Amino acid sequence: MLYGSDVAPAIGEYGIIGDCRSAALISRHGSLDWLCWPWFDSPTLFAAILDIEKGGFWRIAPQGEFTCRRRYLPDTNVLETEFQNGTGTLRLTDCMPVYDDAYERKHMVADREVLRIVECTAGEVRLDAVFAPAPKYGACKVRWSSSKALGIRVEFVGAGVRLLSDLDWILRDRHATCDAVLRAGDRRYCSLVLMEKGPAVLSPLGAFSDETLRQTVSWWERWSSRCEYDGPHREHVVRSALALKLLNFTPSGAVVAAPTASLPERLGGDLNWDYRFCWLRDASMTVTAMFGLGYHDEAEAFIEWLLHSTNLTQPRLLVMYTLYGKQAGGEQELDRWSGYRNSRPVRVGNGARSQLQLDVYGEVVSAAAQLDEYDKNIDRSSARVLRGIGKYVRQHWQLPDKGIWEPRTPDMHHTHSKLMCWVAMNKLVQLHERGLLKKHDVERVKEVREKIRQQIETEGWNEQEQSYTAIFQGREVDSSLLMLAKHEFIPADSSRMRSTYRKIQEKLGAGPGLLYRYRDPKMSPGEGAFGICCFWAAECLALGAGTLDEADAEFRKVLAYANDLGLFGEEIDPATGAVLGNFPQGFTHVGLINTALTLAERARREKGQPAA
Amino acid sequence: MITIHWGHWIFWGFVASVALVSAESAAQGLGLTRLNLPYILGSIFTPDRDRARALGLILHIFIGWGFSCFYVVAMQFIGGPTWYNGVIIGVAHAAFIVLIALQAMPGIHPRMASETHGPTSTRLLEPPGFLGLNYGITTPMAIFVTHVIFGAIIGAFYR
Repeated sequence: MLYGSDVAPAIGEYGIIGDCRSAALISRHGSLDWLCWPWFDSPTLFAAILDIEKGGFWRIAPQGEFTCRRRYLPDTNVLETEFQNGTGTLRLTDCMPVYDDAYERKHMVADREVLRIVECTAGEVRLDAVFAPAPKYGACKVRWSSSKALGIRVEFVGAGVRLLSDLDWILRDRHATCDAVLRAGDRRYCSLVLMEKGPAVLSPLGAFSDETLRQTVSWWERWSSRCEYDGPHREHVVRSALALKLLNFTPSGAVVAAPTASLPERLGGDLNWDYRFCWLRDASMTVTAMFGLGYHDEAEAFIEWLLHSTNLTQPRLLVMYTLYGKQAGGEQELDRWSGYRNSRPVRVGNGARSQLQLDVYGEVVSAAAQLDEYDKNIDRSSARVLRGIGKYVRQHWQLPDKGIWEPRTPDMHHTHSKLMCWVAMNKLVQLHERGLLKKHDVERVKEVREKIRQQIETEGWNEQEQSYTAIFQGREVDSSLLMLAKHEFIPADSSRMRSTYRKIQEKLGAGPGLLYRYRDPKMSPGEGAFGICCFWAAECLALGAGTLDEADAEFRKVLAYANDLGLFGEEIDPATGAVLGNFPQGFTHVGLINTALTLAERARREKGQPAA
Repeated sequence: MITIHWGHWIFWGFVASVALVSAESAAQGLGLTRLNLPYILGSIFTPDRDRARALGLILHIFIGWGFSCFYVVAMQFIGGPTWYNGVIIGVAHAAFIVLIALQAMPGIHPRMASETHGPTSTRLLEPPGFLGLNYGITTPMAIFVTHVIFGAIIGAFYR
């Protein structure tokens, strides 16, 4: 078997590298099993994680049995894997190069590149390397050619890739292999570049590749050094910020939910969705995280994207958009792929794109309102967009919708959706009172805000259960109710919020630090605990539903579920602690960052220090 | 006796040159070729990708404009300016580019890698290769089509 194993590794065994335009997943075994080029949402070039036979992969590892350990070079997204077998030690360094603007102006650099540097640090090691790309979801014809000077060229419709390497690769049937022996001190280079819109810029290997690596390390170190968080969880926070930055599509400012598609929320099940889009739902919390850590440029770019890239559909907002603000593609099933460990179907595109989800309006307004909190300007066109959104919410807040969890079931009145409509109204009133929204019918906005509040307090509260409920006049809770305190609808230390918190823990608790998002007899079996909900619970405690120590202890319990690189997926299997769902998940890392920030703020308050 | 109607040449030469650049850009956009002459020309003078594209675009239009003068002159030797005579010269021009100019490019371009020695620290740009096939299998076709359009416009409208 070319892949070397019957199944893809556990999701948590992957690490991510990227260049803020696309990202690759690399397993502990040195196999690059996921990459979409040139952008996050482009068709795949490597996707063995979804089908080890047809998806395509690029492995560099020692032959035979080995042990390995890995890490990111400190404060970077450069991945280092060290393999050890009976004969020697091999170090593999993986990155997708990034450069600062000044360097790019003075040097010709590849438009898209994956750089892999392999070095034998002790003894000697025979390589087991396979290069087997499968462009465009493995569905297009591929032409292979090779020349000594210019490496291996793989050409397909509309583009191609070129692998330059000082290893001896042997061309075989639709793949290339290398079984070179490296001895202590040997250092070899593999540079894969994309050829798409113009002639490729190639990488001459050797010292040039070392300089490329140095530039990349330095770029990430400089970026990480801007992180203003200095609390006790700095290592986790910086790793989360780095993961989030990888999902930040620099050319437009959008942030993708995750770089992958169809990694299952339930192993062997059908909850397999494409997350390579930008969900407006993630907006306000992502902006909070970026501003909170001091990454103002990224936060402002994202708000700019939110307000202006979505103008084709405004005032109506869709659930998700592509990287450049277009409507996400329709959902397709790739029947020929087996899916991650037989989790079928493999889907690309996302059918939730046309759902009505009223919470997105509150998210966008709340994100934009943070400009004021950080003394940034809200220009006239942004103010016009916000007024339009406000008007839309006033007219539509009473409609039932799909809600935050996007079930493929009939619309209902979700408490969280109404909460976010209240947030939209509340933030607009605040902006008006600060003089930032003129020509605004603030009295009507206040009136609607009050109506929504009354409805949540009556229809969304169950006296018998002593809890807010997931849907109006219901009995069940879901984890999104924790947002009632976060969005200042109700104080976290109020009796209603505390009893709701207890009810959520009682009904949705899945083990130490873990929470399900909801429990539904039809949908939930086999599904994992939801990453961000676990952090919401800790944050709710930090906001006042518990003591600082309780909140910190809860937070640490959740942190323990990160993989060895500090990365989180969408969900966590309560039985094994394994990662489930698309990976790494921006939303979960946003939850981690915001909880750490809230904890730090609470600690400062308790020490009597001024707010950050 | 060769006569050139300068006003006509300036106008239609410019139109043809813009049409040529537009057609080449469309061919790239459609994935027919990765031959990006503005970028290749501009990168002779600067490594900055964006500046190279902008500078190269201007250069390419001016060079095309200049070349149209040769078309005007050449058509007088084969029966005068008609669209089909323009096409004939366009085909000849494209053949020259595909068979000779592209092959010679790594020797001329200071930032283009050599087909035989590969990239170096200063020569990083992928060379076009035989018939420009490194830039895609339909590159020769794209070159012929765009130059036929160029020639046809000059032949049809220059008087």
